Amino acid sequence: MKIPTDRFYSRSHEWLLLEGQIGGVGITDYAQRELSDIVFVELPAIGTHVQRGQAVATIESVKAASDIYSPATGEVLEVNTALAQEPGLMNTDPYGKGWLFRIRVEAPEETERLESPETYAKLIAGSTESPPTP
Amino acid sequence: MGSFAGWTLPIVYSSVAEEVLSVRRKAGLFDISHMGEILLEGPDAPGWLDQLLPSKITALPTGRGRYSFLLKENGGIIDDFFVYRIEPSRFLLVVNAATTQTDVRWFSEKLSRAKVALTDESECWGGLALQGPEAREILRRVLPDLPEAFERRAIIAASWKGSSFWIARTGYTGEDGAELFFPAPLGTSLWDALLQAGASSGLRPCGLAARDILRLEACLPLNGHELNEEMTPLEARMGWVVDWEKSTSFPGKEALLEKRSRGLDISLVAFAAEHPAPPPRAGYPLWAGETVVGKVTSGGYSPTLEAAIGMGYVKTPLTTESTRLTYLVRGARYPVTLKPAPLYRRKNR
Repeated sequence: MKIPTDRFYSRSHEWLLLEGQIGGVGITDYAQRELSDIVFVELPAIGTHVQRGQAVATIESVKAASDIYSPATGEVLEVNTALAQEPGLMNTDPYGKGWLFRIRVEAPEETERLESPETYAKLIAGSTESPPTP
Repeated sequence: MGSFAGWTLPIVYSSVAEEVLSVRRKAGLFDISHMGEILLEGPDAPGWLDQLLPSKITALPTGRGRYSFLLKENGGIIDDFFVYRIEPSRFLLVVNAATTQTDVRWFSEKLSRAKVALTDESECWGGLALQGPEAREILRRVLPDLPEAFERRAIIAASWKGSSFWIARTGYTGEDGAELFFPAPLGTSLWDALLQAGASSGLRPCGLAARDILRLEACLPLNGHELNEEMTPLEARMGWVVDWEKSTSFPGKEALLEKRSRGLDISLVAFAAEHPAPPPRAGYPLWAGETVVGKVTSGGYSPTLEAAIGMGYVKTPLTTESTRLTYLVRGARYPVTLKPAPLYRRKNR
């Protein structure tokens, strides 16, 4: 299970990659495996202001629909439009081409509420069932 | 893994999409041991079944199978299954897991006076389905004595490690292939032998999620979804299963004849959504403008057709291909086009 060390993780299995004030958001390798084949994604509108922990996107896999929670508070600046035609990118490259959206992070201190790669690794090592809800 | 009708089932091995495409392009192996196997035998069996099923069983040649139904008096579908005539007076019924006990009770209640014995082998037999364009070649590597003339819907006795079992050229994927029904202890070695023999042909183990998408692409109905006690074979567009000409009566015959002359209120349709769209799921209403005119019975994403597809019941005036319907997901409308069934048809090879 891949867990890149350059980013933060939520307990609901999203990642946040900070570049200055801009945060990239996606789902983890663990999440994509649990969801299995992702066939559709509904992304937030650009310009939406989202709260940390707010359900902002929906992913539909062959199994079911799952909510995606924003790991940070801020304005949505950009969404990954390639996912509309190729939602499977979330399965094949969850930390790269399968990113979901970018937001302007308003409160960088919020990252203290997220997990480090090490803690997240321990978290998923202990769970073999479906991802818990936040 | 998942639970269903008291069985633990393999849902997905690697990726549903990859498993589906592997069956369409190469081959896939499914564990279908949850299916029920019922044996009916005795000198009265053919004529007795003629009076119970909508199909003309006395006309079914030995060594062949036929798709049929158990019907209520009002024509509602209790179960759908394959009935194989394995010997002149011996029949194998392969029925749905969830309805096996209902079927056994239904037949048992009708056994008195008839010289027919019923054996429920569901707990003792396993089942494997080998499906895909490479399936027959792979089967031949494991069972070289398989006769050359093994036609579609044929069933033959085969032998494995000294035990005999049944192979039918049937399936539930829309591809060519075979289904094997055997005493459960043979299961592991048959599974391993087939997987090994098929490795060079691209055979892979497939779960029941892939099987569900494959049957949906091929518009094969599923009991509990397209088929239930509220629907007759006519609404399900399976009227071809009914032998209207046979002289014997059978449960549901009067109701079906009446319904056939009166016409239908609703009918099963197949549809595809424009890409991209979320998969329509069972139970979603189907809309014509602002009015609900039907309901999705099965839906999902088809990796073969690269579109969200489904089946559902729709009011009959709207079942033409020019009808534009929509389904609603989280407030957004997704248009669908009604398509002739099956949505996927295999090319003749």
